[in-house]
Amino acid sequence: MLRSADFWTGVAFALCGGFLFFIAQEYSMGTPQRIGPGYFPSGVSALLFLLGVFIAGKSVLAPGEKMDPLNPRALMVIVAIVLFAFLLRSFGLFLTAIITSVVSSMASSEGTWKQAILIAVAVGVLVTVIFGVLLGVQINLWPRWM
Amino acid sequence: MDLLANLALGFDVALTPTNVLYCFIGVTVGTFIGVLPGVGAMTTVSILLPLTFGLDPVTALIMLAGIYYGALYGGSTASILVNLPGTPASAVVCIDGYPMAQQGRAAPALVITTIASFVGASISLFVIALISPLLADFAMTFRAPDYFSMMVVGLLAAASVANKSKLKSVGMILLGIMIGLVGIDRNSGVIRYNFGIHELMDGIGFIVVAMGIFGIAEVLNNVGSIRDRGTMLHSVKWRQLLPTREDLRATWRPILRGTGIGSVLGALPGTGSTLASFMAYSVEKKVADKPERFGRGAIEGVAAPEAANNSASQTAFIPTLTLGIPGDAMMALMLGALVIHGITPGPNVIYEHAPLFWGLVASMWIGNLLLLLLNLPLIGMWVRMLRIPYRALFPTIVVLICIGVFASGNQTFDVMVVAFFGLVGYLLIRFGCEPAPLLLGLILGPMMEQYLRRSMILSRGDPAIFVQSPISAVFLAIAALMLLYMIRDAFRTRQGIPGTAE
Repeated sequence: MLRSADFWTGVAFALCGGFLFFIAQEYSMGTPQRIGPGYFPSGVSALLFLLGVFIAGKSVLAPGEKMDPLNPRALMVIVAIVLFAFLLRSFGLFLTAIITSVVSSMASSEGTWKQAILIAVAVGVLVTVIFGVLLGVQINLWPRWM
Repeated sequence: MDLLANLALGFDVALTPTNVLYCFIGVTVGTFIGVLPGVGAMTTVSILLPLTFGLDPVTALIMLAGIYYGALYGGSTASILVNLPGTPASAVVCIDGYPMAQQGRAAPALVITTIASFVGASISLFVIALISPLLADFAMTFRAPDYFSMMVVGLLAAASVANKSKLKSVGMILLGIMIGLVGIDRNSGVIRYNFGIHELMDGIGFIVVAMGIFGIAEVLNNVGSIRDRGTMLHSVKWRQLLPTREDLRATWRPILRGTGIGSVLGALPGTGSTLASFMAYSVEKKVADKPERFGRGAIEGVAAPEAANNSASQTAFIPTLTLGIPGDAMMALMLGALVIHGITPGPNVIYEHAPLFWGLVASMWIGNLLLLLLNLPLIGMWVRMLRIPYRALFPTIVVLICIGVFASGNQTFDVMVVAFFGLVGYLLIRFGCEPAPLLLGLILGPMMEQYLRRSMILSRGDPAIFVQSPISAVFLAIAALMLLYMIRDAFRTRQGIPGTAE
């Protein structure tokens, strides 16, 4: 049961639904004639909760497919994106793009550092030219200190 | 006569140099990413959408639509040459396209896909032109409860074609609706679900969610599983680029059948091009004299699905543009693009924005013509594209998504939101949930709340209005049937497991 994809989906849906329903109670329900901001979210999140319970309950009877294991290495991509968000303003597009590209390359077990850096520099040049020069997107291209 | 006048207006708009240029860019970019395995049209459209903010709405839509059907075309090229479907809709083309390539008939297979796409596109152009005004006129009579119930049907239809669990897809829809509610409630001014985060006051943009759950989650899911292996490429012999008379005789009927199937399925909510191409394939296999040829390089098995997925990709615009009901995630993105450009979706679009509507329709024919003229000479280039390894591609995609998201609102906060939805999307994929219904819920959710509110005002708080209005009652009956079918489906799979164990 603990490896069933359905079970965890159900649990996730029920937890989200329950949590969102709980929050929705802070918003006014209004009257049937003039429904308030809490009416629709309460209904939808209650449905989500019930559906989650149903899916999880059903999986206890018949576990269904096993969950595919997560690939922890792939999460380097998330790290890379968060870095992008933090570095962009001070480091500028060129350097940030290179760093993001190198860090996301770590998500793959294939390839070498040298390749990753080569790809990253190519990406950095490419996006700086396309977005900075050609499209004129409002981003500082170079680090603040330069 | 109206039909011709409308199409003339459309071609007038679509043939301006700017629009032809963007159509060209769209189909070229589309073919490019369609050829590359592991990069979806959804990701590309969401990256490029923020860059179209400065364009005319019609120009923007022409380009985005070009990416969509260009990707379908490129996907088939990859299917035939290396047996790797670039898009889900092209998976079926592998079955007979790749054996054709192995037999040294890659060139005729590629030519037939182009011709089939073009014929499919040309015929479905007339289907759109004929049906859209009728459907829009019918939808004009809809009132708030009818719209609400129609959206329920549209969403359930999207969930009911899910490959995996249909009930899980319903959950994804509900989750999408909830995400759509984040931010200020237009009616009461109450800020909902912002968890004290100031930046969430304006809500979460659908582009940001789409890039997270499609773009980033796709990368996370692929990065461990796409192995860069030396792909065997089949050479294309140039002398064979002209189809033989025999090929044409064998394929004209399958192309027409595929077009018919595609046009009908494309226009229905929730089906779309993937289902259309699979359906067209199985129909061809059924009507063939020698069904055993299928899977071993039958040219009909390439022609029919290709015609079907192209016509479906075009008629999919009918419900999107006339009713405001997107049939799949790509159409949801198109609908979102309309909204961003300040156009309220619904039956009025075809009248109030006639140049946009007909210009887009006409551009799809021009785009397919461009594909026909350009792609055959460019096949050599696409073949070389297939050699780009995924480990070089995915860091590029990640950086492009980051920039695209940033450009959509000039906020680094949005980049963090993409990281969040990327992670959530990855978990959901591993849970066996499909991300497409979430996006549909996200786009339609806020509209449903509005229609619910208006319905309740109309009826003075009596929910019976949803069954008293005949149109709404019919929609709700359909919705109930679909729901029953989904629940039965869920229990059937449960009972199926001990059955297979015996």
